[in-house]
Amino acid sequence: MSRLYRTVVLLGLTAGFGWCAPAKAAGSAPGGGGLDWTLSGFATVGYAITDQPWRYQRHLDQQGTFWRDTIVGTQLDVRLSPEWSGTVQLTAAPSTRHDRRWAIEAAWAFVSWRPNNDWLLRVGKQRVPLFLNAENRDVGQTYAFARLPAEVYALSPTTDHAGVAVSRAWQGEAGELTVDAYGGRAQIANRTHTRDFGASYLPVNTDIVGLALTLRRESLTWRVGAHHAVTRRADGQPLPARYPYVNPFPGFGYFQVSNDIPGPGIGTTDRLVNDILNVGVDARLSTQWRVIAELARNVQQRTDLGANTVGGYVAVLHTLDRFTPYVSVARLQSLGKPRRMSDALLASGGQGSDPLSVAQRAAGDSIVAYDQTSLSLGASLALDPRSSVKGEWTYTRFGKRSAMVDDPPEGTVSQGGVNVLSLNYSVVF
Amino acid sequence: MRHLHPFRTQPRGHLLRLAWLAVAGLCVWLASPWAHAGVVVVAHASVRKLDPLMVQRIYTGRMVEAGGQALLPVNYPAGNVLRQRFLSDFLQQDEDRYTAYWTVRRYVGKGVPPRELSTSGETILYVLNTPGAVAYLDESDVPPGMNVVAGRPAAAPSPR
Repeated sequence: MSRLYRTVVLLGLTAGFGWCAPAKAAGSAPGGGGLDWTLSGFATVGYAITDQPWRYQRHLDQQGTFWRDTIVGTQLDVRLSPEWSGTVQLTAAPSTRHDRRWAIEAAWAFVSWRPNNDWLLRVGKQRVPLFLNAENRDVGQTYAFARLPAEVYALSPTTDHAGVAVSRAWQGEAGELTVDAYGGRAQIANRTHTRDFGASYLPVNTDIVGLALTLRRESLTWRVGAHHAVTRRADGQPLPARYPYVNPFPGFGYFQVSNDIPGPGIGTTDRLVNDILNVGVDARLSTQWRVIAELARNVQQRTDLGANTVGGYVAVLHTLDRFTPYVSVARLQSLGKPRRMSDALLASGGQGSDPLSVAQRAAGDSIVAYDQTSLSLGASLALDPRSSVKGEWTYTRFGKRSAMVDDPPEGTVSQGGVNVLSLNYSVVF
Repeated sequence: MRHLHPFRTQPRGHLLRLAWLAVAGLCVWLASPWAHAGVVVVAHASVRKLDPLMVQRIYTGRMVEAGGQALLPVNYPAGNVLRQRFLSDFLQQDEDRYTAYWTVRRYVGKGVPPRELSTSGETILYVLNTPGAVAYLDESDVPPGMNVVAGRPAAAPSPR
């Protein structure tokens, strides 16, 4: 009953925000040249349901949920002078630190200094300019997809950072070329799920620096980026990096996944290092046809247990007045040692219920390994320039395993698939 | 001689007159969207001449100063006929595309759309009193002495 109540309240609030669009607020000091502010907002109410009992992407299962895609946000932009401005964006969305809680967070809080047409400096909490829709990922109204492809967008070590960003723009005949250089720290929680112990969140600090090069023309956008992230546990403790194989006598062996288990000692590291290279293109081939593709490679160093991945997607969109159907194919694959280690640990753990087997399985489940391919068919219907309804069917096929699946106690979800049906209403106001 | 002039009262003359008036009225109504003077861009005296590409960049947030003078563009509210003509003439965009453009730009953290003023009177006052102000008016509404910085582009700039 309470679930139904929350749903009705959420739908009511969002519809109310949409209808109240003309009530968006703005103000300015007398004289026009001083303090100037605007208050705006956005919301997506998204319902999704799968055909499987286990959870996918934290929230999706056959019970149906509003938790995966629903978000409400408000943004205050204040112009302090022609060069200086401030932006604060608050969002209410399912927490990134708990499975079943909502959280109100300051997604953005930064001060901008734009001394001329070419330079922009921002200091504060802001988005990492990684993928084509990285900065606006929470605002469903700004893209046609019901849900941005997780096979690429989940690759980012963090979506935000608190730090400094410098943008330099060149405007010429070929369009606008922008270089974004940034650096900062994110205090986030890394989620892992093991079939024996459920979900847990480990607070970490991620220091990230990077460079993104974006070329924007009327019908073409390119983005190329290189990013370097260093992650440490927030409590300063080391992170496991290697599990030695212990073979005490012929015919019996195991991975030492904890120093409580006999063995030479697990390998640890004080930090994990991720280097990410990405390229994205959004091309309007004609007034009706559009192709979007992104590819990213995340190389994780200093550990055998991390997310060493490559992901990409290609989407074709066809615009028919206010109706935009699309199809996309996405793939995410772990490479190298982490994938082999995950396979070996899960094989070592088997289905045994003894403590050693449970420990092997838990260690295997904790490795962020992916092997999945998705096919999506969807459509966006623009109700007006500020709101749209989107529907999508996605079939995701898993190979060996995927860390996006909360594996059930019965075993790893392997060589199987999941159908996801999604329906969203997005609005800006 | 039989006169066919529609305004001459003749048998069935009233009907003919009405028909003629209806046709003339229809022509005037159909021609009304083009029956205006052009849209011109006006600015505070501190702003020098602008070319159409500069106007386009100012109203898309990519140009915030010219010759060291900070620019403060103003718009009419969405749905305003003059705004539609301006968007069409100078930006080669319609309302939907312009709104969508600023929705994305706002939510990538690159600024907010120009301030909106409701009437040409407010706009003129704002432009006259605000250094760096840039606006647009129907040519017939431009008061004497106003700083006109750009006329309707002869050839539309290629949008970028």
